[in-house]
Amino acid sequence: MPTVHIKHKGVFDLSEILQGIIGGLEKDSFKVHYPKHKYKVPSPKGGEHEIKIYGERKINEYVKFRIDFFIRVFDFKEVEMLKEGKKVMMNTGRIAVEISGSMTLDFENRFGGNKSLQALQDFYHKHIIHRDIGDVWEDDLMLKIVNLGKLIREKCQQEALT
Amino acid sequence: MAEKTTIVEKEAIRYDGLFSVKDLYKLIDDWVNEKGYMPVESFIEETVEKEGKVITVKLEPFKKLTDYAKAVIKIDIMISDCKEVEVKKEGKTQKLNKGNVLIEIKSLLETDYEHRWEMKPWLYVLRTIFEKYIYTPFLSGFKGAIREDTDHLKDQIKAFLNLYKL
Repeated sequence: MPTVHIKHKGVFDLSEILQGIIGGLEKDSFKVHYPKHKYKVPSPKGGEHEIKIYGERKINEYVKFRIDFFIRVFDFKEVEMLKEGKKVMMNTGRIAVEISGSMTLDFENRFGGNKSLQALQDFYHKHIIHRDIGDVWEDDLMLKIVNLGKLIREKCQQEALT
Repeated sequence: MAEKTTIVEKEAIRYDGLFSVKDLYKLIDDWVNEKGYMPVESFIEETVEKEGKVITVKLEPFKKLTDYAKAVIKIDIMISDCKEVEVKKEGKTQKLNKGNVLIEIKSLLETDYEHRWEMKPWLYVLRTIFEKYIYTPFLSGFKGAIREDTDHLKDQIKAFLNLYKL
């Protein structure tokens, strides 16, 4: 599964980006987890954020999708800006978002017993659900990642491309 | 590893002047969807510099032709010194961009992308024979189709950018 990288330097709203990611995942029925948020101020240029978010969704009893976000923000500063005549708080700095996805088959480990069960699973994957894996679920997950990437670009206010 | 054969070597389209970044990106995105490719945007960067915006986009749309072969078109878009300008055309004010554009397009044919023929050494040998003597007419058909798609995309982009010269 290819990884999507989005980078932006300039003005953005970090909380809106995070809300966008969470909203996008929840809209698609993903359960959202927040395993990491690190913040430090290493230099006068601004702070650094390191955030990990992932969403999990059971597609059926056998297949589970996971989409991972790794967000890094450098030279992070809060600035006050005028937007449509109103004062709003925005952020400046550099932001890099990495989106990757994975698909877990047999997440309940039903075929995890002995060798004959594993051989049966092999047969099941290769000959029964082979098309579903490659043409349905993989493509579906890829499209979800692409759409989330577009959403982040919008939230990063990459005006030229959205 | 899946075998990757370059069908069209990296070719560059250069443009300098007025255009719309949004419309250019939409043109490529629409083309990718229309032709049935999976729209993979592997890298997108937008930075604001003193001279203007710098936009780098790497697209890698792919299309599964069969269970064995996959077409991949690599599109690298680099836009520099990109500024927003207002242009009066036929009495109407239009918001456009001005800057340098470099688009590089390369296309590949990826075979055995599911890595099914490389599990055992004898399968790998069999695959080579299969590709050389049995699958050749299909592969050359795919290569022709990829070449055609790549040329079509290049022509579309060139025509789109040329419109702004008028």
